[in-house]
Amino acid sequence: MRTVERIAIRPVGEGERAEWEPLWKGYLTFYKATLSPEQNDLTWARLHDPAEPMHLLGAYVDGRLEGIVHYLFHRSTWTAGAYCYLQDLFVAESGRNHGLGRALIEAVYAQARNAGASRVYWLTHETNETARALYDKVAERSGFIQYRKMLG
Amino acid sequence: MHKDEKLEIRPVGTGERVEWERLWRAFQAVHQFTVSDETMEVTWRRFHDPGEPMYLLGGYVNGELCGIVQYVFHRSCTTTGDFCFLHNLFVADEARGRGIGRALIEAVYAAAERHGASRVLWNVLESNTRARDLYDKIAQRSGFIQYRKDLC
Repeated sequence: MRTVERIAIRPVGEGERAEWEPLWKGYLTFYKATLSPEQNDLTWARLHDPAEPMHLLGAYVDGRLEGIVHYLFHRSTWTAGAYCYLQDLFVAESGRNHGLGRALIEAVYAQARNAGASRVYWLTHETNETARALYDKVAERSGFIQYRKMLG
Repeated sequence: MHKDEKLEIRPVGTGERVEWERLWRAFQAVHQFTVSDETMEVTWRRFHDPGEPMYLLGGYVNGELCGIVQYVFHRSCTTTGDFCFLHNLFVADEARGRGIGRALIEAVYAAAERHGASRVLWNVLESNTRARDLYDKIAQRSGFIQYRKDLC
């Protein structure tokens, strides 16, 4: 394992799109998804629009962006406070095994608490054993599985 | 639906709180969870606040409220249109077997299409085979499972 001096978690600034995009594409590739350039522009814009409930944090290893998490808030019928949906989490190959994924998730917990959210939740593919080994340590498997209907 | 029965799906009006609360409490009992009176009040108000992305539809058999579906719209990092999260679906025990659940879900599909949403999503306990029999017919199991962290 390489020697790491310093890990920092902070918002990814508007000037860092070139560093964010390869990680975002890495995430999408993992899920065999591709997005149009227009969609990437829109997502990036929303992640930096204070009027949008969408947020982006980065994990920096010695100043270099090697992990990202996207999360958003939405209403819940169960609680007065919002739910925080951790939609996307990705760590570059080079950044693995340094605790970046866990640090990003815990940073989302802190942000969600600050925002008065009642819960943080996410979905992962049931076959993603590497990710689930971490999730089983930092969260609870709810026993719920997802159904979906694509529209349009 | 029996021959002399008529099923109607429509928003549950502000004057129908008692009827809604009966079903919503029954749903909570099934899930062994109790929503506080204060939160129920907040949720009820949000359903009827045009500024909130939270909605409530009822399934009425001969004018009587027998089922409810509660859903919210929220942003997504992967699509321009919102996701529609079908939060809760419940049909009273005595009204089952009439296609009310399916009709409620299909009404959510229609509402989500009108909203410009990209997909409808929901979660169900893996062990809830009765509900899943229906979901397997009208939606797709995504292969994703839920993790969560409740914040205090």
